[in-house]
Amino acid sequence: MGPVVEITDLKKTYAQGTEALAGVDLCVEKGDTFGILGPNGAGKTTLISIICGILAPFSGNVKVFGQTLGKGRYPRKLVGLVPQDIALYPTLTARENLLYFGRMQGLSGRTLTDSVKKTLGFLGLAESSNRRVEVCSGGIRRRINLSVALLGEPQLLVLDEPTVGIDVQTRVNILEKIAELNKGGMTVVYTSHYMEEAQKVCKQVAVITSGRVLTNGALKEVLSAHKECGNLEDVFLKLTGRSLRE
Amino acid sequence: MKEFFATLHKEFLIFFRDRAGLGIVFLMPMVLVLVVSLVQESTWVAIRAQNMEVLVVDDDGESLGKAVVRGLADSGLCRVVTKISGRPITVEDARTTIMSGRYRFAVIVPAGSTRRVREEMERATIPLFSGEKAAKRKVGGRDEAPRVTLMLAPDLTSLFQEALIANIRLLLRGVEMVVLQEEIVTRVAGFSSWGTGATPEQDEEEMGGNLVLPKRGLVGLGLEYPRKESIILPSSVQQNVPAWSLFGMFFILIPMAGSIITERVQGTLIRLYTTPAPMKAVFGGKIAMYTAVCCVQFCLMLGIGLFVLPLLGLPTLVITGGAAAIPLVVFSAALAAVGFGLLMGCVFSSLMKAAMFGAVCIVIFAALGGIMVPVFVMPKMLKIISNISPLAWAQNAFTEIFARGGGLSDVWVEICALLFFSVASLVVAWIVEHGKGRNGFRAL
Repeated sequence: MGPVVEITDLKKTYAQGTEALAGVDLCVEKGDTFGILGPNGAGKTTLISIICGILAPFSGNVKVFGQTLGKGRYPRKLVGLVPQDIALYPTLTARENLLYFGRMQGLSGRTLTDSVKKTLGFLGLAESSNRRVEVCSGGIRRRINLSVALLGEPQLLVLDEPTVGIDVQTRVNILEKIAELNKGGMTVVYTSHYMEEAQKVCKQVAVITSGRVLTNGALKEVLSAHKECGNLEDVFLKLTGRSLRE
Repeated sequence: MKEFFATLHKEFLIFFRDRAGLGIVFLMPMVLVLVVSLVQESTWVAIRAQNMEVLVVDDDGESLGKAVVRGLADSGLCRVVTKISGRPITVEDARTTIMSGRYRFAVIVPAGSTRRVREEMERATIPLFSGEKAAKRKVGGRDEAPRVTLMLAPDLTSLFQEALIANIRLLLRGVEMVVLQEEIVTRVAGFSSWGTGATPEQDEEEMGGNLVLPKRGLVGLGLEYPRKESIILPSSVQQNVPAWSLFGMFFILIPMAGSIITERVQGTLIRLYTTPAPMKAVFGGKIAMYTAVCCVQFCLMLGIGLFVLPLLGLPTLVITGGAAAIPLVVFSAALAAVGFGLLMGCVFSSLMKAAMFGAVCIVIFAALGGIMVPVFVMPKMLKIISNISPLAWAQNAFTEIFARGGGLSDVWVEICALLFFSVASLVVAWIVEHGKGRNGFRAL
């Protein structure tokens, strides 16, 4: 079986002239936990938006589950996205949100209710399920945000900085759940600013800045290629520099 | 205090760096003021500039008829039409064309009016010269009095009707004075000499004391509303309830646009784009929901006209036309408003911009659509422009149903126009959304 995501010479320039991606090559194999790491404005969100089929046009070639984007139907049922923002309806409860997005995933009847129940249970949300999202804590909202993407049991889970703005406990919980999902066979593409976190979770990493891939490969290989650096954060700083970004 | 000024500075920078926002804040109100001023002014300019057309049926053919035609033409009130297709207008022609909405009012001078005016004048002026006391020479009863009829279209606003009636009354008084003057001159010419030795003041007192004219004038003014049998006389309720309900309905575009923008800002729309759900389901659901809200809104307004306004001493709203056509007009108008709202939601990135632009657009559409001032009194150019207003189409349809007793066959063109506007808005919205690359490879 071919790679889950295969990207060749991907370029994306926004209408205002901002070059977000300047020739990206990446390959995500099935069962990987692939970390896309980069400073603010590196092009991470643009990259995963294209992978998820919600941003066009672009130049280059992107294949997801063997399907070339722009030609034929995008394999939506196989991909789950966890956006960086809490993409939920604040006045609906967690359950209502899940039911709605589950229906939009094509689930219905018993399959839907079972899926909602299973997902809420998996992320420890059963008790909060009947509370409106707007009154939930940041940590619970993050978990609900993740749970929506899991409803259709996707084969590829794309997470855009899923642990931003939450406490350590919730972060650890979310990372454990991601690891558990990966162990169950789900391919995970994950962007983060937290190198320590990425080092724990990812098997493969790509460091990008200004729309260019600086390094890409297995975590162990990346660390061994920069032996002078003690950890992934040092590698990251060495590659991307210490200067502040826009 | 430092925080206050820092915030003030920040807001100043944000505000003046947002070109689109600046345009909305400054240009749109200017357009609004311009359009509303033009429309409002046009009510009076139209009257002065002979913009309106009045049918005059001169069955009299003598001085009164001629004086009415001349008086109307000279007054600058309107443009006088005495012939249709090259032949003089009959009373029946006037009735038919007003019922069809082609003309809004007509003045009918019945045959023999001048003769009857002369008779009345004679009776009124005899005491001046005979010395008989006026009290004994009461001017003839109203039944015998000459009567000019003013035919009014049922969709004329009550305010406009009152203005028109007052103007016609004034005109008739002027005509009476001319005829009276002629009569006096004729009679005075018959005397060889005044030679009474009385002072001018005494003469005046004597003459004035003996001249008795009815307070409401010699020529009576009758009103007629040519209409199908089912139609009641027009009232402000009959005109205002549908018109302003429509105005209110179109404000649905703000929550509709807000819904799209909020979803985009929240990220839920992006999330929906990643699901296999067809976008026609996502947007169709929204459209259906807001269209339903609009229809409920109209029902409530209708309920107010039917049940609440009579409690306040106003006439009850009466559905005179084909009731079956009303839901179709309401539905198509709601769909047009919602479609436009969706377009606003796709075009604008912030709710504030969409709300401001949308609200101003509604007011402009309403002003052009005859909600505030009837379209028929607008200058030619504005009349043409008013044809692009969806509120004008909906208002025309409601006028046809509520004021003229029309049915589906009378309003299908307006319904089609509203539906077309709605579909066009949705197509443009989709193109905008697609053009911004927000929906990736999704297709409806």
